[in-house]
Amino acid sequence: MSVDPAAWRELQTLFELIDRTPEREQRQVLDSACADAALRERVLRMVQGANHDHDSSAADMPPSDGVSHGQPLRLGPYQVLHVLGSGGIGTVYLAERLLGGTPHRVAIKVLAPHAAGQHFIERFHREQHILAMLDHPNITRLLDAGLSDGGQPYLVMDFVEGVHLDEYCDRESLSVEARLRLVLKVCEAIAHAHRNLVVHLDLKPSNILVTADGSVKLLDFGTSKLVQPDDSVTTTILATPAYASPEQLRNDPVTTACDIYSLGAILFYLLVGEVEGGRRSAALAIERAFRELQPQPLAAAGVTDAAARNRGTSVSRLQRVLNGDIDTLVAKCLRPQPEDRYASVDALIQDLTRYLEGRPILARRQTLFYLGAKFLRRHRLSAAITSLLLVALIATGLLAGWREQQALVEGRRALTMQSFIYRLFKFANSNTVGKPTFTVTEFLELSLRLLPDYIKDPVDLRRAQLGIAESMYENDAYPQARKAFDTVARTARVAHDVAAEAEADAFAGHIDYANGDPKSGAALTARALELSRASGVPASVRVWSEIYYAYDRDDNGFRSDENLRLLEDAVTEARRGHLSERETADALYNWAQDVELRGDNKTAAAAFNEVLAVYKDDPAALCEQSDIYGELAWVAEMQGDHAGDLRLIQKSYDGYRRCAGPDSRGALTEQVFLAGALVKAGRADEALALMNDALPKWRKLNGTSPDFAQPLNFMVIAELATGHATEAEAHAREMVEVQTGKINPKDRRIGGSHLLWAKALIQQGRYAEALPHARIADDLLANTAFSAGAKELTAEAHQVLLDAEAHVREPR
Amino acid sequence: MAVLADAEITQLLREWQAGEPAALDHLFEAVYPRLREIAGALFRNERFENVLQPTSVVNELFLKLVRNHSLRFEDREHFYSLSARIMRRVLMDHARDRKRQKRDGGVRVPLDENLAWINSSDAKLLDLDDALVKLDEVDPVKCRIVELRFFLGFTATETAELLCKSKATIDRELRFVRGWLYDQLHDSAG
Repeated sequence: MSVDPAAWRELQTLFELIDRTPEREQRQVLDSACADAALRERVLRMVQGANHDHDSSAADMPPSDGVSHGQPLRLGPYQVLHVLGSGGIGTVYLAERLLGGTPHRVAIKVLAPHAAGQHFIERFHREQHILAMLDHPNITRLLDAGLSDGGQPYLVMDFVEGVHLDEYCDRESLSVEARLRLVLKVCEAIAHAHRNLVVHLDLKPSNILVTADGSVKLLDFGTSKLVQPDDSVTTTILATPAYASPEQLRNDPVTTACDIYSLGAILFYLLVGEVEGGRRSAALAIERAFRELQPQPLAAAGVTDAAARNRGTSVSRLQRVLNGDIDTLVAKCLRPQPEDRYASVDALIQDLTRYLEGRPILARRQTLFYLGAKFLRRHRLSAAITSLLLVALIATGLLAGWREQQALVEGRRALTMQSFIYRLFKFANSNTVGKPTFTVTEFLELSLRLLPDYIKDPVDLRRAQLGIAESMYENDAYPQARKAFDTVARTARVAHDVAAEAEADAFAGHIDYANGDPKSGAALTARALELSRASGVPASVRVWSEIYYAYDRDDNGFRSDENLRLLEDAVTEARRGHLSERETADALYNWAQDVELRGDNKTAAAAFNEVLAVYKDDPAALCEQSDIYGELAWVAEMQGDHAGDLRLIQKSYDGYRRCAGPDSRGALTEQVFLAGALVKAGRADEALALMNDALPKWRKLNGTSPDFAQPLNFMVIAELATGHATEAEAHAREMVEVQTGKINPKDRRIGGSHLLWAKALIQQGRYAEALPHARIADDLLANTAFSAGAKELTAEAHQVLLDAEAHVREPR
Repeated sequence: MAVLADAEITQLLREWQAGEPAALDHLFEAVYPRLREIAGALFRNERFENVLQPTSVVNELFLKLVRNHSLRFEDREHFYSLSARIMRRVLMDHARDRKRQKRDGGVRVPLDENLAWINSSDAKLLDLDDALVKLDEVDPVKCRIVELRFFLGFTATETAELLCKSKATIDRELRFVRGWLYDQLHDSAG
């Protein structure tokens, strides 16, 4: 059948028109709107059809209730009275057995064969001793099992008269507290069953009855032991999606943690009057299970007027309760991963009891660290960075509380920090941002944005902002870090917060150096140094100000003995100020690097080893350990130990890849040095491969900074060693370009670039063009040469110049 | 029916996501046998009113297509449209088998209550299937809405979100389709 699109549209238009029209005017409207009599009839039929409600059509339905559809009269020794209900795995009947003349009422669940599986009766007898141990006042007993004459498996249980848990709570308008006390009773029954190694696996309000005297009775306990579905049927269909744990919905192995999840879902429903995550189709429940979504906060479920009234309170008061510890408690039950939930029902009982007694619950802190740990697992961040951030933030909160010497304030502050971090991770969740992954930098930027909502004290706020900015710096996000330091410096200056301003300026200056702006770098680090000498500035700020001022100056061609003295001061200051072992080691490290720059490799190596000993004790210092291996490699190289150099640099590179990832600045730095060592070891092809990988990454990271000359340098060396002279020439030219105008024109590094340029040209036989570059190289490199390596370079530059001159004078 | 290797499934998914229609048929083949098996187990004993829940289908698809292939679950629309289409096919094939075996009884299919006025005997179900084939030719989007809503059990809100339409639009479309199906089925029955 082919339908004309225009006719289809017309049909739809007419339908919608008539559907909106009151019934008695429909014919009249239709007559004027449509000339086609057949079409008019059709539209009327359709409108009637759309209105056809299912009540009137019930007669059309096949018989669907068990009574008229083969209700058994007898099941074994039991006389069946009537249907009580039916569910996913079978139909429940009320039945009775004559015992010594007194009719004894029981409930019998006739199971669908697919649910019972094979060997059902044998299993019942095998499990009977376990089921007998389930004897508990709040658990309905499983009395018997059998097969009907027709071969249908059935289970016989105590018959309980009562109403479903949720119905009871609403009917009695129970308060939140009263509801929790009822759930506590349920938990105790479940804990008893778990102790006897029986899990329920289908806990839901309709499986929990409250009797006339107000006691709870759990139905269906033990069924899970007996019900082993056919192999081909997933267990998914046995559970109720709204209350089933994600692992059940995913068809993964089930444990007692499933029941804890269901208890959480029941708590959620009883507290809010809404199912966690909202009512959704079974399909979407499964999607949720596969995506491992974190539970929705209680208060976000939307408290209605009716729900509040049902709990004997107002909407705002109920909201407040739901925003408190109970939210954490419920969320702890509803974690998508079983191992993140309460370890046992007993642990849940403990927290419920604490909550009811007004004491702090135990779940909160674990939740916080869980979130952090989870985020790390998910996003494979540098553990050190994020844990530092977490600790810094928590410490800020706790310290401030201590300062005010009020336990109450401390508690509130800690809570604030926790909800901050909670919100942060929530936002960073990939499902919220709609991106597959969230980078550390984005995460830190988000922290910066959210922070002012949580920390009201401006001094604390700046301290936290500095912590985040430093994490950004650690994470190679220089532009973002620079901006954050600038903000802190500005607000600190206005508030005369000298310590914060000094710290921010020191880092900002250090970043400016790295970005190829030594002028601004020098000015900012100098200001930081000056500010840090004011009284009241913590020793650590002074130490870092000294380090950045002095080391960056020395490293950028403003070398002076004052710098070395400052770095020495920093070490002394760190020791005297009782800074942590770690910070003291950091100061020593910087001093040793400066000593190394000056060519005293032996002293430097001793210090490096001392620092390494400290870093080795610190699991978060894997990157720093790798730095030291890199330094020791350099020392080995300077002592002519090429094999040692290669081994150590490889170690450094591997370490960095592990601690910060293969694309981190640290790993890329070591990768470049590794390429250099490989060239020396005669493995130039491997070196070239490493550089081909590293160079584009460096270009992206800081392709316009003079620091980019360093990877270019090793690229050229690898290219020269493998005979790629034209590529080498282009890269050497680029080296000079990124350095020109950004560093001191007399800097040795510019000489090194020209030296390579000359060599690339010579390799192509273009001696005349090489000559001017060789001259510049010889000129600049003949300057102060501290280290053995530098002296080697001086000699090489001179040799290249002589070479070029000889060829130009005597052209072939 | 040949069993597809994991790599092939992954490839088919890519093609399907890229809008290659033939890939859909092959994907059917990859997941369908196991679903038929599940349906068979559920319907084995006709005295029980077993209901093949869409959960079985969705679960199987998640396992087969998403988890086992570490695919990012990005194209929800395609995923659920495929699930709904498969669900429809499983039910209809089952009805067809039973009709062939002349055991036309009262298997209940989990059509949403909004469609409950359709007498869901196997014969009627097959009429419904024919009507949907027609609908798919004229207006595939409406057919998709029916499949999602009635076969996969999506709520109207979920259907609207998935197809990026307003709930009011979905409600309006569904009303029209209900009317249209009613007309078709009563017409063909008469």
